[in-house]
Amino acid sequence: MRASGAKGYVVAIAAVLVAVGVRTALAPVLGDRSPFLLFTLAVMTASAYGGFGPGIVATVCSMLAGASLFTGLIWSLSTYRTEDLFSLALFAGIGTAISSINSRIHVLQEVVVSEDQKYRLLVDSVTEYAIYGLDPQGNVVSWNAGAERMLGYSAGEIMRRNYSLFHLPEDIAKQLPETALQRAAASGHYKSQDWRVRKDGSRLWADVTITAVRSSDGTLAGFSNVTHDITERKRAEAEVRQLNEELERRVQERTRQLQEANRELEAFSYSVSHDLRAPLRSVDGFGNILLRDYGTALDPRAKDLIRRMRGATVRMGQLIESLLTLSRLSRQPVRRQVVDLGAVADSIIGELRTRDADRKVRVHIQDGLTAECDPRLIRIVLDNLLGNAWKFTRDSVDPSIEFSLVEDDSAVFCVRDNGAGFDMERKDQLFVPFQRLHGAEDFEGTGVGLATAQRIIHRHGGSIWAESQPEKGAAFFFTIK
Amino acid sequence: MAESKLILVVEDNPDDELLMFDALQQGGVTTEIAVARDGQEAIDFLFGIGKYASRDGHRCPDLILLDLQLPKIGGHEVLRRMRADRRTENTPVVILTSSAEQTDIVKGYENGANSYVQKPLDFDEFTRAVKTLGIYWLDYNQVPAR
Repeated sequence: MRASGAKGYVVAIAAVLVAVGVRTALAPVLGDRSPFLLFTLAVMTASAYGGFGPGIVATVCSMLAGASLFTGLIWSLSTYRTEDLFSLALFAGIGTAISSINSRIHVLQEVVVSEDQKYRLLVDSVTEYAIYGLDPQGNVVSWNAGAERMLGYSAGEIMRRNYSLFHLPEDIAKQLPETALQRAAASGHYKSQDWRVRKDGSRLWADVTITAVRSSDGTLAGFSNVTHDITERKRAEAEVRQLNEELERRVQERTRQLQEANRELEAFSYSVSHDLRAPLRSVDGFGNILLRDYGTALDPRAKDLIRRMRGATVRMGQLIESLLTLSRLSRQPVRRQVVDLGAVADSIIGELRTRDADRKVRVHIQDGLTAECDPRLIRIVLDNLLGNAWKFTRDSVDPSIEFSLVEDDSAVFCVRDNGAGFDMERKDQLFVPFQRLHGAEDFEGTGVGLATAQRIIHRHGGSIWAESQPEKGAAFFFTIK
Repeated sequence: MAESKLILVVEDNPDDELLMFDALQQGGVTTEIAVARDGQEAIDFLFGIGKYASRDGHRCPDLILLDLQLPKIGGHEVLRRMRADRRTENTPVVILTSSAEQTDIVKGYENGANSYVQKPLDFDEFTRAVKTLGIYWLDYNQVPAR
């Protein structure tokens, strides 16, 4: 450390005075030989303590004192001895050289000291990490503020004690502290995550890095130990893991419930297909046998009643069939491929024209309508939408049906007609099974068609909706994801 | 033909049974018809056990019309046991049921059914189907000599 300016010069003067005193005391022995020898010690002391300046001051003072007191140089220049003059010059050179060398050492020392200080400041200012030094046996030799904060020991009470103190008794029993040091010594570093114990006995989950410190000749000087408290991180991680597990468990539970519901639905539709159909066949069959075998005995009214009975069984049969189709749709997989929707629509319209040969309907299908979907399922959707459009334009003056993409959104398909339409207030009922917005006398149907279409569109990840005004036609929109 | 032919109808619904009889009659099939009301009865009849212990177990039906939804032992199981027994392994079995479920159709053929027919809901079609089955399996179909 550089002595403050004035202090260095005081030391220089004092050193010279001491040298004068000692030289005077030794005068009887030394006589006038080596008049400057002792003064070199004064210069060394002054420059070592104060650097170049005090060293030069000491040199000059020594020359004056030595020359005046121990040579005759000052008092009688005429009687000077050549060797004294030579000694004086030599001393001047030596003094300057000593001052110069010492001042260099001084600067170097200062650098080393200030680096060391910076390092200590740095280590001390780190409070998130415990940083401490160990000797080769694992005893604490340095201890930063972070270590005090994290582990609870002050530097005074932990110095020279073994670092195994921070370990769990079971880890100590397993010789974990020693093993860690051996591994660090062997490979240079040792990293681990485990429990550490504070002075008050509480635990923390620590991320620890032990680094072996070796002196220049390679012998083990000790270890540096950097410890990071990651208890909170571990807790947060554990929480996330627990939440994930909980979520996973819930998903599995829901999936199980869904599968259960699906199985029940399957069992239901199975029993519907068997048990509801059989009585229908009986009613239809016996009605038929009645007509066949007893027709002559029945009057026209009785025959009409039996025919109505049979008509009802046919309708009920259709309802059951539609319901079964609807439930099957939820179970069968969706197999996607690129489908030319325009071609599908074209073929459906062709069938409708064949069936209703006397109807004249203008149909426009936009070119290039394609989508990635299940061709069989999408045909059911278009069957229903185009079939509805066909059906509900029955009473229109100039019936027309259009299948196109919506102008401002190319992802939306639209089937538009100028038929009977429906009241928008009842649009929520459109897609509910068996909800019909028109009386059976006006337009036939089972009321399952749009519910079926919606289910298929939903299974494709899309949506379906409608807009209409009574007597102004309807437009059905759908998307396919 | 030395022996008259025999049809076994395995059917738990008396209405369907009546309709089947009517249809066979309409088709001019005058064969003897036996009826089993559940799967167990069908097994007992075929192998001459239980209440059919006195029946000649060697007289095997020439055609079995088998429903699937049966009390006690289901149609699939009846078929499986028949095919596992030498006496009935080649007997023509037509599954005649309300179900058109793929699982039933696949399982039916896996168990060795000769044919699978869904009972038509419409009476006229039903009559036509039963009539056709009777004529085809009894008059045209050939089975290995016993």
